[in-house]
Amino acid sequence: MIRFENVTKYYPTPRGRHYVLRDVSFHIPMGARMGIIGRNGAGKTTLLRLMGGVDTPNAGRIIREGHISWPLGLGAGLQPVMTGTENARFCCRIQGVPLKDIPAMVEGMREFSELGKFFDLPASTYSSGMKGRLKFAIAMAFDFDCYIIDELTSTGDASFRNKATSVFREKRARASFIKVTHSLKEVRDECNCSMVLEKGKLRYFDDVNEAADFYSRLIGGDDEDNDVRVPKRRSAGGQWAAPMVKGATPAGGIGGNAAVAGCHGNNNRFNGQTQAERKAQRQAERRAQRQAERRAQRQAERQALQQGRRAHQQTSVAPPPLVTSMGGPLRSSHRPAPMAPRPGKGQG
Amino acid sequence: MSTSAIQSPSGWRQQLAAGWQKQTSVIAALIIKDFKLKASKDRFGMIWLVVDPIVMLVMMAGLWYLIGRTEMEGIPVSLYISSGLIVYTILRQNMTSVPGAIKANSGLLNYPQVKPISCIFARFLFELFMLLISACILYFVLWWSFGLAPKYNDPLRTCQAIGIAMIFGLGISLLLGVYATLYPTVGKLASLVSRPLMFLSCVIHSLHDLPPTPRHYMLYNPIVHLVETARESLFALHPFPGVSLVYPGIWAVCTLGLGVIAYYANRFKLIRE
Repeated sequence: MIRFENVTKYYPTPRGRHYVLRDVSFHIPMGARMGIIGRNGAGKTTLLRLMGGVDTPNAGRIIREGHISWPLGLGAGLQPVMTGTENARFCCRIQGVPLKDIPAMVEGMREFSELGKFFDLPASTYSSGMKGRLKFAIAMAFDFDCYIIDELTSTGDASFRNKATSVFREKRARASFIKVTHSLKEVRDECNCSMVLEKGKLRYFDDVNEAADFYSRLIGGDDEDNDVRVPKRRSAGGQWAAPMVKGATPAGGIGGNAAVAGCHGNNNRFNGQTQAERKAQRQAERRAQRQAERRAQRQAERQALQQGRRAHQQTSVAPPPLVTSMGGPLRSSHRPAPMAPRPGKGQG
Repeated sequence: MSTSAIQSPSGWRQQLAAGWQKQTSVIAALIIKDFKLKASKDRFGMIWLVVDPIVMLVMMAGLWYLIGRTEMEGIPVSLYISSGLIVYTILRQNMTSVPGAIKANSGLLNYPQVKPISCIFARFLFELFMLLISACILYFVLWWSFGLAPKYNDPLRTCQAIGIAMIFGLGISLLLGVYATLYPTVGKLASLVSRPLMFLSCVIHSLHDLPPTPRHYMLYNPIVHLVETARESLFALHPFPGVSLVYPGIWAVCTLGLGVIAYYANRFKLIRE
């Protein structure tokens, strides 16, 4: 249904290219219920925009077959000056619905969205929840083969969410979907496969539990990464990280210097220190304490995780297969990923 | 549900047909949207769009009447100015209102069917349609109340001039649409340039009124050629030496080509904006 072939996507930024995907290939077949997880800013929305055909890759190509929805997201999609009715009509028209069918469809959307008189008011008067309702109502009026959902189902109040979930469950029986979510529970409950997006790499998981575990490990093990990466970068620029480190050793740090400076007879000094300096010292001490606490906590967590991982490996669950990577395939797994063939070997 | 347009077409012919169908429905939807917007947001806005060229004409012709001049090259001033004004308005719209179309519809670019170029096309057609209405009203009023009507001695040549003006305008609006969306300063510059253009394009005066030196320089302006051609074909005047449709035609084709190139080069950037 959706096939990515060596897709690379980046955004030019003043600090060089920011890669969202690097040379990624995969194939999402019909019937997939894909949950995409990743941190904020990992590029999930961009990935969905690529899948929905809104954005285009910088290299490689994307082949889309079937009737695929636009990315159903919270952001764009409504023209603020147009009323709800006009927005709904516009969507019908651009989807190529015959003119005579449009009024009935718009009526259906009006009922489903439960916006009342606001359906005839400009979309700029809507709250974000109402916008979500309208967008969801519009999207559900069409029968797509595949829905691309960017957190839209998790909008609105409880009653609407229940309604949305039940309607969407009906749709799910006939159509596949690809959704972005932060709730691992949702992935476990609704999806039958999952992808984790992280630093330009996509990891594919057949088993959603595995994906959820991997993701929570990824978030938990975050500081392992940072320990290696961050000092390197900061020592090059080295502006505000340095005093923080000095402050951690109060004996020879800021206080000492201030005492020396105090000998030169500045009126504002008290006990050889200005108020600001004392404040800075206090803050530094507190910071050091907090860091120490955090470090201890992290270590405890890491130990717990390693134990858990050992237990995990003993039950012979393979590490997740790496679908794509920049520096060559890391396919140490003995279990192949059936839905994600390697580039060139084409499936379906 | 009409999935016919969206189901993957097999041959290039079907693909082209499906694409054509999709784009026409998008452009139609955008035009209808523009109409609704103008009609609902501000009732006076719709009337103003139609009345704007007429008010301009009344002002300019009124000035000439105040000075005491009622005829130009033997044609009543109001009629004389109206012909140039219509050609000029086609181009002015494409410098001021059309390039803003992409930004105005940015919320709708989320739908994969809506491309930035469809926004420009839709706005272009919308503005042309509004101008057509106002031109009809203008000529009807002139004929009804003053009994003034052009001779229409060479309608084909008039159509040529207007057609070239349209192509030229579309090229300008593509170029400006792309670059004014990416760099807002360009849009401001364009609206600044379009202000004195009315006087530099012989819209409210005749080329014959000018001394030879400025006349020579005026003829570098392609709009002057279009305006003069429209006049001579409408009122059966003698063609001014040096005025031809080839010169503005070359301008039009070059601008349209550059516009298409600019759009093609920046088509992904525009969606990201």
